[in-house]
Amino acid sequence: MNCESVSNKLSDFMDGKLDSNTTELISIHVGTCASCQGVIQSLKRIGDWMREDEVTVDTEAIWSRIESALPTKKQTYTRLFLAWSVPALAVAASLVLVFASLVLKPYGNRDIAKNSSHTKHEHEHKNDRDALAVDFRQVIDLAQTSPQLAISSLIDKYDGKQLDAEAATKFIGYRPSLFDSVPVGFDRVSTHVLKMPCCKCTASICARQDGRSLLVFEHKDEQPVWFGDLPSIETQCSGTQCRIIESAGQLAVSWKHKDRQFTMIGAADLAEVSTWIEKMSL
Amino acid sequence: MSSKDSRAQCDEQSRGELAEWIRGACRGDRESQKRIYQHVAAQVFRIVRRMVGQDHVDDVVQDIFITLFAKIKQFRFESSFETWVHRMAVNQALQHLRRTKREQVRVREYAANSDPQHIITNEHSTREDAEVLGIAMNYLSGDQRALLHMKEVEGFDYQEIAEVLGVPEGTVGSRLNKARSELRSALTQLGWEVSSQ
Repeated sequence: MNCESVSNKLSDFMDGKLDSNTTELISIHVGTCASCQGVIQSLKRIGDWMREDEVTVDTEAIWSRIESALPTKKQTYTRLFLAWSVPALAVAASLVLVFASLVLKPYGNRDIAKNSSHTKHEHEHKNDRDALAVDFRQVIDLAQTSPQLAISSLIDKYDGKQLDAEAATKFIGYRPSLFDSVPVGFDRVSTHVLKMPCCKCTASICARQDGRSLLVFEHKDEQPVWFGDLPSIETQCSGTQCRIIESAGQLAVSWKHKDRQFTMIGAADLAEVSTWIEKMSL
Repeated sequence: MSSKDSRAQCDEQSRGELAEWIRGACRGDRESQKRIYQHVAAQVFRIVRRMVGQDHVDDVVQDIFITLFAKIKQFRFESSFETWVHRMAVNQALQHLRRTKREQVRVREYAANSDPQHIITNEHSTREDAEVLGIAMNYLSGDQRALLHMKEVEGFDYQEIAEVLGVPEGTVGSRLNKARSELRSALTQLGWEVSSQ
């Protein structure tokens, strides 16, 4: 070997990346070549120099800047939903934020209501609603594991039972919509009546064709639903105002149609939400 | 602490802890975001500083972490999180360089203003060494600076470098050889001689 044939291998040679035969040949050459020894020495020195050049970093100071520029938790999810809404926009008429808080306030979460300015009467009314609110955080958690588990928990808590269409209609005083239709691609598996704080309602398990399920609650009277501190957005899906909460990749959605209020837990995406809203609006 | 030490320590820690922080950051949890930041910030700062220089490093690092937390849901746990972060940092630093065209400007400035014989003396101070290295580094592309930094400072192996740069592992060796050679040439042009060190 000579200097020319060795020169483009010296870097790999230093890093121990050559096969044993080539390594041995280069070692022999370098052992007798002052020029190549000089190159290796200088390359090693450059590496040392780069390491010596490193400075101590005050990462805390930069974190303060980053933190102040990061979106809040709620903003994060708003951005997320906006991203998700791209395919759904083809279905949904438009995306309207803020405005919806006025429309959905009656069954919105507590935080929104707390931050609003109200008259004394409105405060009292809100407090009444809060007292009747159902905390759905646990339901969401359980539904992620198994909708059946979530229903069982609700049955225990709200004196529930599974009924057929006729018995459910008699029990709650109106015919639940899901007995008549569910979107294509879903089957209603079971419907349960629950005695919630404000009224009686139904909770149905609906299965997709792949076996995964979601829950749909239907009320005639307003039933405040509380999703705790989970961030939410208010938007329009298929022309209907709805509040959406995301948890572990699943959506919980509340919307109103005529005299009915629906809450769905376990939707995969906004397209699915739109499908349900459209079907329930027929 | 060197990169290898830091990675070894991380391996000793539960990777599950990092996974928890990542999941927390996906939910927008500020404490989890801070833990992740503390876990990788020093490495990110070092490579970005090497690529864009001291004057711009804070701004670029800030942008990198804002992007990182916005995209963290895209991390699929299929590769090393640190590699994923490095790839993002290198790409964003390269974007910054392209945007500002800082490389060409600074090389021209140095070529016009530097007097190598004045800068390089036989009695180097640490400050002068850093200046000379900084000047010579500007003769390299952003990719080459990132490559040399990952190898020489962070101690990445060829496979890790290949993953960060998105190139075949076999390409890393030839690129590294070229980068080292060009940096050595740049230093030599600036009057640096290894024998004088």
